[in-house]
Amino acid sequence: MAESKSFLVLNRRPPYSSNFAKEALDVALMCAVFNQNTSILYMDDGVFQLVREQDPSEIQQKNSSQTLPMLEMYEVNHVYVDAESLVQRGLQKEDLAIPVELVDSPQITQILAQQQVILSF
Amino acid sequence: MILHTVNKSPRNSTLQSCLRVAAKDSAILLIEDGVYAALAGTELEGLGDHKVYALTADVKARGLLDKLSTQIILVDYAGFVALVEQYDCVQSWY
Repeated sequence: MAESKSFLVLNRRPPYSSNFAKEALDVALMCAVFNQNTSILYMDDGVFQLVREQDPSEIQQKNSSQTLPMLEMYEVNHVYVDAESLVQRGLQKEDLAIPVELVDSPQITQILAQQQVILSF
Repeated sequence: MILHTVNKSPRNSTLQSCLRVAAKDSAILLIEDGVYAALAGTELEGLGDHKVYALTADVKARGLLDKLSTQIILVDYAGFVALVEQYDCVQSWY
């Protein structure tokens, strides 16, 4: 078994207008499957990926937010959300589809410093 | 009279550019990531005196149906076509 590293998947893009959201989620789950110490962080427009009750059927896309509960199932250790990005967009924790850990800027600085690998989307 | 369409999130400068030059009697139609500008309670809510429309399919896709500013008028694809007909020309901000 290869050694385990700490991975952070950093999400900054909204869903649907690009593939970033889907790819980031796939990578996070893949890291977790291979027993890596995996966390995921949503900031800027990335927080829009977490909004509950998404329904992209009329724009002929798959609902990527339905995959979010897999983060817990696959034992992704932490799902962090930048509280400031949320507030700026008029959103609250209750508007999100899964339980998350809200973090502020100094905490994000710390989280970034703890990682061996950061994958940015 | 012009119909302006905006397809970028308000964090991008596209909407600001549109608002800077759009005449008062012009309308703004938010599509794709542009619909995030229709969220109530955001600091970017100042869409001015314009009539502001948002495409329902894109709003629903992003889970925003119950989170919109009261100023926003929802239109479906047929409504989109009707607006294009109604205005003299369309300026697409993308």
